[in-house]
Amino acid sequence: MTGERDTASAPRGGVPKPGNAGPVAPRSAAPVDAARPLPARPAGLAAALSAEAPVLDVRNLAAWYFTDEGTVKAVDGVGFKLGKGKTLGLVGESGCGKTATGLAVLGLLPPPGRVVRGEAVLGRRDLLRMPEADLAAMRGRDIAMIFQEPMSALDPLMTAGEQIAECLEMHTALDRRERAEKAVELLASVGVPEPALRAKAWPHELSGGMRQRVVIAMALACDPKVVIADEPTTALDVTVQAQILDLIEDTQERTGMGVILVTHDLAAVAQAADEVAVMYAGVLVETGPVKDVYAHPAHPYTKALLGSIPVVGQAARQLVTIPGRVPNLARLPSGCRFADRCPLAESACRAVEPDLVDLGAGRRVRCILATGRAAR
Amino acid sequence: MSGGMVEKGRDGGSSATRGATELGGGAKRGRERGMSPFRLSMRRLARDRSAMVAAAIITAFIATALVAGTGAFGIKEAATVFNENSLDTMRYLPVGTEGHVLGTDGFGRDVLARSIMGIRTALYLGYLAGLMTVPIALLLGAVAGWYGGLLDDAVTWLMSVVVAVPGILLIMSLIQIVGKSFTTMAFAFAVTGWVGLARVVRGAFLQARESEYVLAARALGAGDARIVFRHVLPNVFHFVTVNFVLQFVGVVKSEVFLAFVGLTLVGEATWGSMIDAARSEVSSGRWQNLIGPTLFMGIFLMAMTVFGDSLRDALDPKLKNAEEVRS
Repeated sequence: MTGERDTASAPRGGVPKPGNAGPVAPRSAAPVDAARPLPARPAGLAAALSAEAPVLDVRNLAAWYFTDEGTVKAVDGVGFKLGKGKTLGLVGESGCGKTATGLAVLGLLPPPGRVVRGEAVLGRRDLLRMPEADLAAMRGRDIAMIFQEPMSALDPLMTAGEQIAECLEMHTALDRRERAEKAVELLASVGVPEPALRAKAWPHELSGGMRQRVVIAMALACDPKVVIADEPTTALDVTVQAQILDLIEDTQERTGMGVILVTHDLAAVAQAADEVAVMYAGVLVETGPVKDVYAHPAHPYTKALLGSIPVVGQAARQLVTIPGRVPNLARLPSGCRFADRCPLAESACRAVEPDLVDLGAGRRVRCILATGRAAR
Repeated sequence: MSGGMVEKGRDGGSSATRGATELGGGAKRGRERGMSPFRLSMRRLARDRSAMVAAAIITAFIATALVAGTGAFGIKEAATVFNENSLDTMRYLPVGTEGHVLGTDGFGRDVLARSIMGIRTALYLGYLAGLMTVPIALLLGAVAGWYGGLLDDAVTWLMSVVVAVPGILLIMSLIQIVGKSFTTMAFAFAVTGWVGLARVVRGAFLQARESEYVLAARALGAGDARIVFRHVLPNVFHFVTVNFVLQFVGVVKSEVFLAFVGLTLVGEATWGSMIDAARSEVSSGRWQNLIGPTLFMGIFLMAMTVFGDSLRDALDPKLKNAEEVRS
C-alpha cells in the first residue's frame, strides 16, 4: 500500500496530475492538521497514522444512466481520496451527481444506472470490481451509508432495536441477546435518551431527529471504515441538524472512520468537513480544504454557491443567484459545463472542457479562467 | 394504481400514527411500552362499531357451523335424513311448521338445518380457495414486482389472459375436466381468483424495491432473500389478509352460480344447491328453499364485506383518510 500511495492519484481520464494529493488526502502529518482550525481534532498518533494511506480512494469514477432519452452522465470522472478520520464534503446542486457518486461506490446504483469506469479502493480491494456477494458482505461492515430521509429509511414494521440488531446479525457472530444489548448501547452512543426504551419503539413513535439517530446507529453498528452520509441533515429541523453533525464528528473521533458528507448545505460542510469537493453536472469543479475554498473560491460556480447564502451579521447585501439550471446530463454542452451559466464565460470556455488543475496547497479547480494565469 | 395506493398509505400512516403517539405520549410518558403498527391497527378495528358487529355475526356463523358439524342438536341429521312425516308423500312442510321453522324441502329435510350446514360448505370453500390463492398470488406477484423485466412481462401477460377469460367459464371447464369436489372447486376459484391479489402484491414489491428502507437494508449488506422475507413480505401482509376476507364473498357467490348451472355436489347441503332446487319450487308456492339460504347468505356476505372493508381501513388507514391526513 505504501508504495502505491503517490501514484494513487495518477491521472486516469479526468483526474489529477501526479503528485497531486486528492482533496481529502491527508496531507503529510499532524502539524498541518493541527494548524487547521476547523474542526478541532486530536493531532496525536491517530492523525499521524491516518496520513499513511487513504481509507477510500475513488478514481475516475463514471456512473451513467442509460435511459431512453440517451445516456445521462450523472457521474463523469470523479476522483477523491478520503483519509482515515477525515470528512469530505461533497456539495453541489440537486441533480449534479452527488448521491449517484455515493450509491455507485456502494454498488447500489439503481437501474438503468451503471458504473462504466473507475475504481473505488477500500482497503486493498476495488469495490466496483467485486462479486456482488463480496460487496454485500462489505456493506455495513466496512462501508455504510446514512440515508437522507429518516422517515422512510426505516422499516415501519420493525422496532428501532431490531433494525440495528439486523445489521449486527449480518456481520457479527453475536447471539440474539448480545445483539439486543449492543443495539441499546449504540442508541445510547448516538445520543438517544432512554435507549433501552427506545430500542423497543417503532419508527412511527419516534421524532425525525430520533429516527435519524437510529439510522445513524444502524450505519455505525459494525464500525465501518467509511460512512457515506447522504444529506443526513436535510430533512431535519435546524436545531437538530447541528446535533446530528456533532454526533457524526464525535463518532468519527472515536472510531476513526472516514465520512463522505453528501449535501447541498454549505453551512453543514463548513461545520463538519475537512475537505470540500464541489460537484457540477457530474464532475468535480473544485476541491480543497474547506477553509481555503470558502475563503477564496477559485471556480465561478463555487463563488456563486457561496454568494447565494446570506451571512448573519453582515450588512444586507445582494445575494447571488445562479441563472439557469444544471445542463441536461444526457446532452452536455461542449467545453466547460458551467459556461452557459457563468457570468465570466469567454469563447475559450466553450471550446474545450477544462481539466481539473492543481493549484497547490491541496486545491484543484476545473476552470481555465482560474488556472489560465498560472498556466501561462 | 396499486403502487400509488401503497405510497399514499405509507405517508398517511406515519403522520396519522405520529399524531396518535404525540397525543398518547406512549414513548414520552416513559415506562409504558408503545404499540406496534399491527396492534394500532387492531385497536382501530376494535373501535369500528360496524366492524365489531360484523365480526360478531361472522363468529356466530362459524361457531354455529362448528357446533352443527359435531352432530349436536341433531342439526346434521335433520339436514340429511329424511323426515318421517314427509317421507312417503314427498310433502313439503311450509315455513313456520312446528319443529321445522323454515319448513322442509321435497325430501323432507329441514331447511334451517340445511342452511346451517350450508355455512360449513361456504366456510370450507372460501377458506380452501383462499389458502390456494395466497401462495399463487404471492409468488407470482412478488416475482413480477421484484425482478421486473421479462419475468414481470410474463406474469403480467398471464394476468391479462386470466382476466380476459370469463372466470366463471374457466371455473366451469376446470370442474368439468378435473371432476366435481370441493377441492376442485376451491382450486378453480384459486386459479381464476389470484390475479387481484397478485396485482396488489406486484405493486407493493415494485414500490418496495424502490423504497428507502430497502435501499438502506441493502446498504447494510442485506441480500435479496433477507430483504424480501424480513422487510417486504411483512409490509405486504395486510393486503393478503384483506384479500382473503373479501375473496370469501366472491367464492360464496360463485358457488351459488355454479349450482345454478348444475355444477354442484349432489347430496351436499350447499346454499347454491338449495337455491337451485328452489328454482322449480317457487312457482308452485314453495319458497322455503329460497328463503333459508338467501337469508343466511345475505347476512353472512354482508358481514364479510363490512368486516373486510373495515379491516382494510384499519390495516391501511392511509387509504381511507389519505387526503385529510396528508396536511
